[in-house]
Amino acid sequence: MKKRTILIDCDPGIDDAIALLMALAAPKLDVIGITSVGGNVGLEATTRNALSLATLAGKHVPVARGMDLALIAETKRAESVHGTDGLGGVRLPEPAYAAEKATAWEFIRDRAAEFPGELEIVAIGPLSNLAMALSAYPETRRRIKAIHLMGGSAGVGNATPAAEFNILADPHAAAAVFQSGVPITMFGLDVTNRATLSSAGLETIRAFGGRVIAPACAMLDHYLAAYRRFGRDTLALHDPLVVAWLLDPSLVTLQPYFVEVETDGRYTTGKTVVDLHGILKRSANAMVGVELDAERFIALMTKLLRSYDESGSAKDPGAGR
Amino acid sequence: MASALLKPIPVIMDCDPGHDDAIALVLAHASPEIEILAVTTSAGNQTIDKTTLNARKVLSFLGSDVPVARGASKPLFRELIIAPQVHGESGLDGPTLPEPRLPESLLSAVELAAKTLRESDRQVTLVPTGALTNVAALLLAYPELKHKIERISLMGGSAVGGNWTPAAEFNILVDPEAAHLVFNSGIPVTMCGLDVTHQALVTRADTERFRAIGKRCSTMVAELMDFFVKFHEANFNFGGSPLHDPCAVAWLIDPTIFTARKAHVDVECRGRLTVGATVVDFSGKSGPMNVDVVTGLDLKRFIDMLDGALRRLD
Repeated sequence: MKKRTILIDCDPGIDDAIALLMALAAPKLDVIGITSVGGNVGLEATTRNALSLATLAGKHVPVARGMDLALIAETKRAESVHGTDGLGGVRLPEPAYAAEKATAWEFIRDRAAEFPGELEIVAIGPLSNLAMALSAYPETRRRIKAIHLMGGSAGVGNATPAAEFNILADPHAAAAVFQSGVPITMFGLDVTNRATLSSAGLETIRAFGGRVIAPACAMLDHYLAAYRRFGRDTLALHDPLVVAWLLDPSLVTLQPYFVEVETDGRYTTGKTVVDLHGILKRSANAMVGVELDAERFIALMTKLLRSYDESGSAKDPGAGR
Repeated sequence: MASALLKPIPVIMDCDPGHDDAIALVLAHASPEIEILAVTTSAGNQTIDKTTLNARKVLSFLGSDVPVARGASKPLFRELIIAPQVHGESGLDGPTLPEPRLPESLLSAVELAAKTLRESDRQVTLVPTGALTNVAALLLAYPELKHKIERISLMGGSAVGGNWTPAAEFNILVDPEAAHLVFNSGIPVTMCGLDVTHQALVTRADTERFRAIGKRCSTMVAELMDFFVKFHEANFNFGGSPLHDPCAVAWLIDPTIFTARKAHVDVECRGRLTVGATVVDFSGKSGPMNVDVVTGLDLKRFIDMLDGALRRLD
């Protein structure tokens, strides 16, 4: 069985953490690298968290540090949702290894050159690193097979009424990615806001126990508390949906649309402008998630997190790519 | 259903006929729940010359003596954009309407509206179904008359996506600054945007139902529908043609056929891709929630309301 060659660009972040743990457990995915970006919390924290998560998963996946700040816009953070450390105060193992010397964008360039036409990037944070790689190394554009991103919304936003957080945090980077010509799958709030888990659902998962499930549920406790402060009674698993879809595309219905990003509105900065009616008559540049099967998504996520404790699957940290 | 014992709602219709504006005028004229005090015209669907003539022709056809006053020929701060593809060269292509009986008012739109507000013993509802240029100008010129405005029930905007650009609905796009002023005026607003109007779909079968009523007015409306349907069938895949403007009138006649949510609304005037977008904040964190964003309707009751109105007119 040919595995898919995956690089994950992320800003862990609690939902990034769950997504990483899922991807690292999936036999069909060969996660050849992780690149960290400033987003939910600063770069120092997201890099340390990525290393700790890979260590928890028992995998030695190279982690390359990327951009801390947005390319042009003012920095945005989401500590109110993810905690100051990005993981809701949950202690994870100390990283078993250090980050790469190469920057994230050099790393992306090198992996794309190593796996031309095969590398798929799962982008679940602000798109700063991707925009850097695509603009600094134009040949990289043609070599990347696809970018599957969590970001944006065809409808209302979450960070502001018009914009979702990842796109708001670096709207210029997002604009560049959507203009790049690389095939894009966009998982926006239209689907991710419906990838919900209730308190009862969380307890069901926690009851399985396990070395990954225990800290994962502890992080989700913090995450749910944050959602409750915003007036919701369920949490939304934005980033994990992207990984789940990779493993089971039937989970999400996609429609092709032409999408651009507003970089300079008074109220609309960071909005993904999705041409739902084809008014501009431009060719679609993204497959956009419109519907999902939330129950089967939660089941798949649970299965992957449980798999760390199945017999014979204690992963050797020395077993890399 | 409002009973005849209740006084009708006094309204000023501000419009740019425009096929669906014309049908909104017909619905308002035919409904005992509404009393049209004045009609003012805006530019958008067509130029001000054409929209003003069309408004006068429709009112004349209806046998109405309500004064019609010409509004601004262009948006507050921008050049005019028009929509001949949708409404034709005359702005009301389709039926042949006789020349109007009465001349235009000597007053401008803003002057007539101000006079109407001053002289009314009750608060008046504004019903703009075109760009918001005149309404904004009224509020800027006569802020002391704001308290005479009970509500603004407008057709425009959208919480999710546009129809003229991907982010913007046409009426708001024509004059975004005016729209921003209106939404932030503090006056209660009912926003009948694409969220509801894209559900107010009339089909060819509905057109035939109106035509089968067999009276002057119902035939005229059916002919308006015939033309209007052509544009929508060619450009969209809605399974019908959205009858936008009558929603703003229908909400006043019977709000129970609609669902709405309170929000604060700002209008983007700067973004290259998003100019004219109504940014709808259902959380209310960005400002006072003075806008009822209409999100759904009972289509059958809406069509029945139009059918009933057409049966009352000859």
